[in-house]
Amino acid sequence: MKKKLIAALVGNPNVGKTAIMNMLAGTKAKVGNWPGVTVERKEGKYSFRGFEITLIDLPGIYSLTSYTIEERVTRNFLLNEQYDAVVNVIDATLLGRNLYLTLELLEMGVKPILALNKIDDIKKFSINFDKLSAIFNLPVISVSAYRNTGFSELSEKIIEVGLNGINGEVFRPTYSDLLEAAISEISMIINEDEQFKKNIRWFAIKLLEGDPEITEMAKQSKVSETLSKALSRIKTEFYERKGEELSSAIPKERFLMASRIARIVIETDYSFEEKEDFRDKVDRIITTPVTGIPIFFAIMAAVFKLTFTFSSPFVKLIGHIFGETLPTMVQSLPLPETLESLINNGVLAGVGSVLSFLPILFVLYILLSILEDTGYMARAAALWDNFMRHFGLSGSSVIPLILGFGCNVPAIYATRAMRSPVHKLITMMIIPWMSCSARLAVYSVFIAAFFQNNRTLIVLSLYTIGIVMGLIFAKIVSLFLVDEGEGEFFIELPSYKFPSLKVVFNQTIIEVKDFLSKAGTIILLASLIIWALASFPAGVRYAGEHSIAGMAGKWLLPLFKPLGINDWKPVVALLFGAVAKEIVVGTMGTLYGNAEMLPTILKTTFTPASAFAYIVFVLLYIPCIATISAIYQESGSKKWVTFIAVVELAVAWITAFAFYHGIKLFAG
Amino acid sequence: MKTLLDIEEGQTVEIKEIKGGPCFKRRLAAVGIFPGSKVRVVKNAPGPIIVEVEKSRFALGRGMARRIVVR
Repeated sequence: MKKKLIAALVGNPNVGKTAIMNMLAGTKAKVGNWPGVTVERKEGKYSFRGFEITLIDLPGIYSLTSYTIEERVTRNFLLNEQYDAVVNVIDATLLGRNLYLTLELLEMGVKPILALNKIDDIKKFSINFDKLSAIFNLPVISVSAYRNTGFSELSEKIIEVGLNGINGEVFRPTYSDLLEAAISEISMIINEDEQFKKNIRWFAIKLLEGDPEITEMAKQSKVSETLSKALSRIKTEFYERKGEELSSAIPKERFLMASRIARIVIETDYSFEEKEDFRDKVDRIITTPVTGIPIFFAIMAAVFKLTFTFSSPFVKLIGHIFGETLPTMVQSLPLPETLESLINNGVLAGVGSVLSFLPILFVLYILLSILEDTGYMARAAALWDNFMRHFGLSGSSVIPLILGFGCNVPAIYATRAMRSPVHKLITMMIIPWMSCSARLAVYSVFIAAFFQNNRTLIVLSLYTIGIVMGLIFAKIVSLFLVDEGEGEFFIELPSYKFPSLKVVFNQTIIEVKDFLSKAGTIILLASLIIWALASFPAGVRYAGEHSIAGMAGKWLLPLFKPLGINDWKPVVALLFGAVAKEIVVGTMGTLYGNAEMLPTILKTTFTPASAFAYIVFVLLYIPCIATISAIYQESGSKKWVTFIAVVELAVAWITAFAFYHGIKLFAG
Repeated sequence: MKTLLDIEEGQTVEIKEIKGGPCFKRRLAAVGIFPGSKVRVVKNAPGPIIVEVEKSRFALGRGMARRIVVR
């Protein structure tokens, strides 16, 4: 049996932790959420020299305070979980800033392996590894996901540290006299309480910094009274003597210490550059609305165009195989009718609809990771932030929302890149109203029947209704959800760079596999349920009047009468449309018995007003099963999924009702 | 009293004071934005302001920038 080791990857955002994990664990990595929060959890296993190494990619953070959820997740993992080694991934081009986190790790008692990434990107200076290693007394190695170097050294170090630990005294950050006196005083006080004993100095520093979580913890302590008196006295004295607050003096000293160490180990010029460069101009153009918005739309248009151009032959192929080739083969087999129907209408339809998402997801993910890797995404978020704030969202919501027009499923997954859990949740709620391409299939049938002369106007109005409803809804929800300190926009704009195709490809494979294993099973299950509803009781015509689905359609019909719908068949189509919206058309084709003549048949059942109300309902009612399962997976909460489904159904009904009667009123 | 919002694009300034709670200050300090540090304003037009600190670039909301007093 292999010996097992667990190594945690810690580092600032954008340092390349995920790229390193993807290179090591390859496409075997898994993505999920940390328990209870919507922060992404990436984990990967690989074998090296007879060891099975599990890598845990902790959320990217600048500091180990408990300000953001990412910081809390990372900190709690390092404090409370079992692991054998910690790899502190460092962006070598930003050594000074990255060492800040290293110092915090050391304060906390964690002895990390320092993995310097992006060494190739350094142009004007070089880093003396021996000096860096000597200062900290920690192993230092260089890795490059881009060039695929340093990975066996890193694995060897993980094994070595995992087995023997890091021996000897490591660097311990010491602060100015005044701060050190304060730290000792607080240490003396909390020394009386068992819960602080394992890491007294760290707790003392966090208390002086005013860390909310640790301060809360101290309130329950038996020394809380002495402690709070001492803290407030020390803080006042410090302010009187230094003219600055203690809580920011500690991070400031830590930052300066990190810069000093960086200056010692960096071997050539490290002066602060003040000159304007090309990057400034590009950044300004991209993030200023007048120039940035056209560029943004051009890029998104290109993303869509490429996604659908590259994926559509594969989508068609999958549709053909699962919709025609295989069903025909099954029909030719001597099978009982029910079994044949189960295979064709249940299993194959389900698997087919799962697989038909794959080409789209695959191409879209590749393009998105390229955009992310080049550094554009952060700038697009900066561009849109002001506008989105008005609706309780943030700049980072824009990309997922735009993606929703292509397909809601990848759009939901794209919210993974969002930092604020509240903004992420609200964005997920309104993505279903971004009219996806599957809904276009439904619109086109009704347009062919009723609105031939106003095609563009109708399609445009549907897109607009979705966007407007989404923004209004976001605004309302945001009034009830409190954003934890993430209200202000703050994002790093990483350097522009050329993406590594291998990293992009691996990342895409991981995400697609993730979709298959999680969303796929739910879609298949839903297809089987729908099949059962349409096939039973035994002997009825598939999805016909006497099937459970047909009876449900009739039973629900009174609910749709106020929307101008007088036939149970379109209602059944809506039930089936919950699996995937494009099924709405197919179901009506089956029920009315003639798919080609559908537009003509619809004219006998619908009026223009009720037709418009119906497509508005299709736009706004519960998203497809794949989207629902993606929302469940990303939010990790049944409560929110139910909320979204119920609210969206209600909004769909009310809006469709308003349009039906509105149109009747004005158009007679 | 000048804040980051009053600084022209391309100029480098020293931070004098940051107004706000300890969390806000700690968060900025961790990336090198604290009294005494120097930042260069890359973009100061509608939308978030872009600053460069020790070779890193950050976009910050204008409300945040208004609380950063510079000299």
